Amino acid sequence: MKMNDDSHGASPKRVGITFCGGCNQSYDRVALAGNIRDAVSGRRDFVYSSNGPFDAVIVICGCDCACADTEGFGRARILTVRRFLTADEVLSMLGDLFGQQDG
Amino acid sequence: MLMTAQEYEESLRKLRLNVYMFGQKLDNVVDNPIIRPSMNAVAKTYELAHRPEHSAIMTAKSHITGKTINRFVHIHQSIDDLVKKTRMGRLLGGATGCCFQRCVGMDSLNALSMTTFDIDAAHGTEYYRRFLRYLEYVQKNDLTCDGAMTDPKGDRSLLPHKQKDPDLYLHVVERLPGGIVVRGAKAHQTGAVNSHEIIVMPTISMREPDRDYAVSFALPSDAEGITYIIGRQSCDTRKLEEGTVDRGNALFGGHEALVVFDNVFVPNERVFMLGEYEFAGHLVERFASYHRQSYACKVGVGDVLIGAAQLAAEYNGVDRASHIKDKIVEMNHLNESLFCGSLACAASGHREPSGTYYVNALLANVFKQNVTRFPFEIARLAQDIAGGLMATLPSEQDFRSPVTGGLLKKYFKARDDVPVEHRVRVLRLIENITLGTAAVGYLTESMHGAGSPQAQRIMISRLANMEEKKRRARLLCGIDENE
Repeated sequence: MKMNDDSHGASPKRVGITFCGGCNQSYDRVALAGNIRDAVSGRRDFVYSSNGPFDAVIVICGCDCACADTEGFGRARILTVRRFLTADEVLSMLGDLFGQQDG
Repeated sequence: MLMTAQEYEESLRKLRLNVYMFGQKLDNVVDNPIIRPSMNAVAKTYELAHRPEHSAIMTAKSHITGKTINRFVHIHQSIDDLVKKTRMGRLLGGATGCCFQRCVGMDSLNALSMTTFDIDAAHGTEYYRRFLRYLEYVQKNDLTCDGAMTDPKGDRSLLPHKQKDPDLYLHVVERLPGGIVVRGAKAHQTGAVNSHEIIVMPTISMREPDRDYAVSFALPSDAEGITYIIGRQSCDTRKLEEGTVDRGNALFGGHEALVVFDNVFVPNERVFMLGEYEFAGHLVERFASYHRQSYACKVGVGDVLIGAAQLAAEYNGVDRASHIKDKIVEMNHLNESLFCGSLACAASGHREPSGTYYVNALLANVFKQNVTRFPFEIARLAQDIAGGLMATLPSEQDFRSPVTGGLLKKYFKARDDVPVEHRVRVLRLIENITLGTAAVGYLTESMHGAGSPQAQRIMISRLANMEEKKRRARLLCGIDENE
């Protein structure tokens, strides 16, 4: 499910991306991050940001261990990715995250 | 400060190292085609620290300055640090397919952080303060340190002071007001000429008569009186040939050197042990346990080798054969078992009085004992899957030749959709890791690096707590210890 741009009627959510260390990744994490950045551009509900503060942080982990440190992001919502997904799938999950919690 | 790979390379160019190879003094170490791939491997430790997708593993926060530093110059402050060290080893082993040389300096720094603290507690010396100052310098400049422990050792049945030639163990030859003068050598020094600093430690436990051999210090790698003699590796001169196919690993490699100290002056502020012979074994054990944990790097190299074996099978069209699948499973089983060992000794580490976190020494030794075996079996299976062509392939020049190239491409064609060159390249990579230059790191270093197999067995014997095991057995079978 994608966010309906009009459902918020506010400024787009600032989304950051961070990684685990990638010691034994099971997919190309960097490519996924690039795909997400590309997919975000042109949308009005989310905007990619390289610097905080964030409304949400996508944590791209290489395996189920998901050992990335997610502290230090303040009140940002955390979406942890543990396996290969498409950018659309990640953004859909992100939309769900806000939709459910904003509920 | 986090140096970039480019800055690291430039920093090496400023060193005035005294290096010999093939009987010749090298004027330009960095660009020497035999040494250059090893420099590339160390440079990777700098490059990955700048990459956001790896910085969580490759960097840490200094406990003395609070600044972000490369993990290779960090003192472990938690179990998480120890675990990340293991993960970093796998990451870099997989990224380079060889020894990236920088772990030995990290292990030396961490071992010294504990031993200098403990010597001071026992003797009221000032080694720990000196060490912290030195550490801050290393961290501030993001230096690569060689950790030099292994002496030539001469007649193994004789103690250092009993050797006919006293220099067969590095020792103090003169004590001056401002420092000491040392003479001797350290063997098998991985990455020595890619290092800014050399950290010297004793190689065995010592007693009072060997007090002049109980010495630890750090020097700039180009200090006056230090000479490096580069060791050969099988297939090393392929790096001098045109093309890259026959090298197997086109980018990376390792090197080792004999490092000779000919009456070298060490200023007092860089001396971390001087005659405290009862702490020589203490330092050796701590360094060795850390360094045994570091062999998680072989898991990363194993990842590369297993991947190469799978590709070779696919290129030959045999990847669906059940025995090939089973061999790949076995290789993965062995490789991941190694990873388990390194993670386990990290996860069950503890805090020492100095504040440094130390691995579980028993598990580190058990892990390293497995490292002396499993890579050999993984390499055997890789060669089994690769087939004999790996060792009988003609040269890259023959493939490029207008006379023989066509014949080779005709007769070495396997699966129709796979270019012959791809088949050749992956076979050369397997050759490189299992019997070429990288076999020094993947096999022989796995056997003897961080101590030969018997060294681990001695430690396992000491640490296994047999009395407690016997007590439990007596309890369960009804033996009353008081009868």
